[in-house]
Amino acid sequence: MKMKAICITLVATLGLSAQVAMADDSAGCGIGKMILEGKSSKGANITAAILNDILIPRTFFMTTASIMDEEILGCDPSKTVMKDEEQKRFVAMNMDSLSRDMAQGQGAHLDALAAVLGIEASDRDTFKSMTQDEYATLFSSADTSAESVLSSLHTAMMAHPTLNKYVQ
Amino acid sequence: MPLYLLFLAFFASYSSIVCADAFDAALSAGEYDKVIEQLPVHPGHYLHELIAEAEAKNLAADPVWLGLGHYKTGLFGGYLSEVDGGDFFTSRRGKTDPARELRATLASFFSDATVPPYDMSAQCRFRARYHWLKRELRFDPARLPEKECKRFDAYLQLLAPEGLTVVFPTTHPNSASSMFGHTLLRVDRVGQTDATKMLDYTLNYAAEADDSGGLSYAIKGLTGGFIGKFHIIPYYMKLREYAQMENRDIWEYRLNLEPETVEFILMHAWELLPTHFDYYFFTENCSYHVLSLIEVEERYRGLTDDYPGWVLPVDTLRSLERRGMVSEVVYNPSHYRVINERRRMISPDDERLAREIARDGLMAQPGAMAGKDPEQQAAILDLAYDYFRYDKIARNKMIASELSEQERQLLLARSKLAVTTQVPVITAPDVRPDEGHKTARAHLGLGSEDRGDFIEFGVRAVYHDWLDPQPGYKSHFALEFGRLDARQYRTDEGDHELKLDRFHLIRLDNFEPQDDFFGRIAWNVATGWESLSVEPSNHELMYLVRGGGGKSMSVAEAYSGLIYGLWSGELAYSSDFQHDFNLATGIELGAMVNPSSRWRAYAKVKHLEDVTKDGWDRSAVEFSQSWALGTNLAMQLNLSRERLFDGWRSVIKAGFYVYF
Repeated sequence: MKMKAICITLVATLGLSAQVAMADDSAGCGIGKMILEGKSSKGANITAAILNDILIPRTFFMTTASIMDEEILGCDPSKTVMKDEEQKRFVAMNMDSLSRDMAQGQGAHLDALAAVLGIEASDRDTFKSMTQDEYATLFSSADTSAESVLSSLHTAMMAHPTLNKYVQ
Repeated sequence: MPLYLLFLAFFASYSSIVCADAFDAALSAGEYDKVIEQLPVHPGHYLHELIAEAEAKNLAADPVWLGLGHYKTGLFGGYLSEVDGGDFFTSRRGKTDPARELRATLASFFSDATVPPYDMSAQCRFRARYHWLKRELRFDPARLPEKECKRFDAYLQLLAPEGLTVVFPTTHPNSASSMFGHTLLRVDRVGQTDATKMLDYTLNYAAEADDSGGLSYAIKGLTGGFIGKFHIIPYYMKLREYAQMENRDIWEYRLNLEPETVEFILMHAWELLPTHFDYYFFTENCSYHVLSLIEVEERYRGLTDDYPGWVLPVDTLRSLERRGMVSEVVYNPSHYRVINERRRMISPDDERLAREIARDGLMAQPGAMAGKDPEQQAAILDLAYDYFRYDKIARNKMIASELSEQERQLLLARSKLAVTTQVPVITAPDVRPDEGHKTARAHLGLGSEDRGDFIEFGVRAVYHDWLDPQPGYKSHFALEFGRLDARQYRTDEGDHELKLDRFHLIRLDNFEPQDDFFGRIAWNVATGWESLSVEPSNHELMYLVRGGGGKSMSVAEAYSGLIYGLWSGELAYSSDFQHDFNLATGIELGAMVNPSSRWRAYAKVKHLEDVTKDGWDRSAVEFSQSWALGTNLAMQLNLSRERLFDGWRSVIKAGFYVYF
């Protein structure tokens, strides 16, 4: 089950439909499978190396967001799920825009987050108004971290009658 | 068998063993030039066959091979690769010798040697070369086994490419490196939607330099003193940078490429990511290398050959459009436009309240919201937040993604209203940047002044002046490089005299309008040579540097009206001045308006006092109009009276202007 949840996140972040991942449960899903297989050894380093050396230039991160230095630059082998990193990075880099969109109950960044979480078109409005309702919990203080926003979001979705299906 | 034959046979086999050892050693050391040198004594090797076939098919002269190596024909014949990173070539002579590079590349495919710091075999490092050569030469997997390239596979799966989009953030006059705009390539993921496109990755080619400006920056930028590299950056970061931080509109030109083409281009991007080019501001710049990346695909070969001496981002869009490579164009308004639209949606009183809330916080305005319905309150808070953030970005010059407590309080209050924000609808301009007039210009006109009639002709290298047709360009920005105007006089005495009136190297007017909230300074700068004398027969020129700062305001917005006032200074050099240099300062006032979409009018008065001892107060008044006859053809009528060094001159002239 955990593997499935990770796969959903992975594939959803790639902008693919969540169904693909579910149908592909046992076989794993593309990059997710590869990364999961390499969880304890080489795969982890490969993904970290890509993020480190080629995909994300160091200088770029140094000048724009010290917040991400640890996760991306510190090649921590326990942090193996690249898509989780991508997701966290998106939230961390767009904290202000996401915060605004959630408070306003709409916006491009919130749409992107909904897509990342695999929320289907029919549930998007519900999702967006839920984030508006839960704003005080999602951003309980000004220095809330990306991880904490994501985990509060997770909790809020679990408790929600229609959105809970996306986080099981 | 005679003994000597036995000996010879032994020697032959011995030397072949020795040589094979040298061959293998060179191969595993990644010294492919040596591998090629050793090849003749190793006749059975598959590499022989591959090289022979590549030569038979003349692959070294194939456009795809030349594109993959970024080879250009040199000034004196021969080839020279534009890539300047040594790690990009498998042969030491690879930069100038595509045929040798091809042989060495084929040799490298047999090797496990890795190139630090990328830790990849040549097969993985040169993915596009491998892909293409494998197809052309039908590699036999038994004799040349394909290696596993996990990092490359992960790269491709992360990008999940389906298409490519050229992204064009428009001009940014306040930055020396982006005054003409910028282009980058977005990799459109499989299943991309409007909502997810900001999550896609972009390939951005940029100079490794801080945008500090200054003379050394300019010189380095022009002479290849910086290195340029491709980087992969999430699109949301680029949107943030351009739309929010720099207030630039962003245009997206989606290319209609086959999926295989996209994949091949990305294989090549992989080859380029670790290496570098020397960066040249006018020629080998961001837009050039977006094209040089795309043109590795055979059908698009020659994309980079469309340019004479400079590559402007907007011209590269025209090239793509002309070749029918653009399938869709999408407009993203800047943050500035969004805020302005939001201001229009509420009453002036509410707008003022929003400004106060943004400045002093919500707590300082208790009861201000009383009596307003939730929708109205939401609109005020939305604008207040936009103001707050705009101001924060303008002050910090960098977008910090963290929230401040004041921001959080504002948004918390906003969320409690439980009203969904109405998104301002901003329609794209009727004319896209690539549909505006072309950027080079020539003109021919007739005129008359106090001391005779004249024919005027002039050329301008790039880009846009106030009186050029406005569609597709910003309404508060003029920028010219390399403008020359000359006049052929027929004096009242019947003499003919050819005289250079002016030669401007650079002229930039950036008159971004200010208002109650947006407080930017209007400024201009120019440098070049201008005529000193009103006499047609006097050819004296002065070299001058002119600059000013002040304020500009938007008026009659429906007609793109703009008025401005500047405090200006001019420093001129000529041996005619008492101390060689002459300095004058004073004011310049101007106004411009578009009475219709084709008609532009422009007026200016200027008075600068001489602060040195030449007694030359520079006064000028000008009134000009232009009428666009087509996208690339316009008429101008200019009236002016100005004081040059030795007297006043009044000019009336009219002319035709062509853009090409």
